[in-house]
Amino acid sequence: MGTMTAPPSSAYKIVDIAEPYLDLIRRKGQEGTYVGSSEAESPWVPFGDNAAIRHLAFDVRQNVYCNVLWIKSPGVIGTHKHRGPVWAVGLEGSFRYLEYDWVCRPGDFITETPGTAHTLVTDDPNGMKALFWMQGANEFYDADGNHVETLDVWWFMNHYESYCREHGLTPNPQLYL
Amino acid sequence: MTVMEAPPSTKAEIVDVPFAHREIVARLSPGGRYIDAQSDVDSPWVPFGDNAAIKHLAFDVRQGIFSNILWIKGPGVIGTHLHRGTIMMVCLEGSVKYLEYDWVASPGGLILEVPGESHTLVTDHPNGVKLFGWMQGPIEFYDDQANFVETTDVWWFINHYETYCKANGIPLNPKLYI
Repeated sequence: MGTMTAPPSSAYKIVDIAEPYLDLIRRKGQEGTYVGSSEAESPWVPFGDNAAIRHLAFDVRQNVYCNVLWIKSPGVIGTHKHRGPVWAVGLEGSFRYLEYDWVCRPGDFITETPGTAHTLVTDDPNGMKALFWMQGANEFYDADGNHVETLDVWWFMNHYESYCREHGLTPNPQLYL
Repeated sequence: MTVMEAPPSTKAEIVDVPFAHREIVARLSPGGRYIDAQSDVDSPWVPFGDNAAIKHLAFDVRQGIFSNILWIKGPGVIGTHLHRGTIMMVCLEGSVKYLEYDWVASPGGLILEVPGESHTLVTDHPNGVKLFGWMQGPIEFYDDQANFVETTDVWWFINHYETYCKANGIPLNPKLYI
């Protein structure tokens, strides 16, 4: 059986695709979102002194949250444990986990799976930036292994909204899936 | 390290659980809900051919998820179809099997189906089968000559529900839309 080996159309135009449920999709569907790279669309929200998070998406139905984590110079995000899956892509600098033998650099792709706990480190003089797509609970521990807090979509939303409130910014509806 | 061996409280009383983000949850969560299946009040049985009906229970258009009860009223077949997403089903009544597999599902049993599988659903039970399903992603249906007929997904399921409601003057139940 033949299978597609290249895009079946290279026509530089919108092709009218048969869609029996078009009205329904328009009425009940959720439009996809666009969040540009400017801080006007989503600001860097401090996460401690040496890190910041740029929030990109919240899906409260699936407990999914997507953002860019920026650690500004060599530093650590302490041991934390995931109860859901994570995907990430390195954007700038590099980072690694003390638990693993790889280093994530720009363009590199990683996954993290439920049940894994690890300690994020960047040794790069300029730190790191990476895009994270995360689902579910993310449990943070202190240096003595005491559980401190469980973060999920609500923590990330609160992190974003608190900063917006304090700075008189209107939350960007494009972040809310 | 000790682990929980029984529920830590059996008091029939609401305990005030500390959670820092309650206000955001109240403002932005779609909220959990209950959809009754004993009656047709929350959701009617919508015919799916002469021998089957679907009671739609939930639609999540963000993830392409749909949940329903499939009822095949007597011995019958739902022809070969291919899944592009993940399916979880529980047999509620009667029994069901697939021609492709060696098991027969009976009430309480769990059926898992994964992307890439195609199969042919059969019930030989005199009373047919009722199956609860929580399903994600497209299902591609083929005729008995293996010609592709249609891809059903959350939109097909919403349309199936809404078309029947419109035709029968039944108001749409907002609880079904997560």
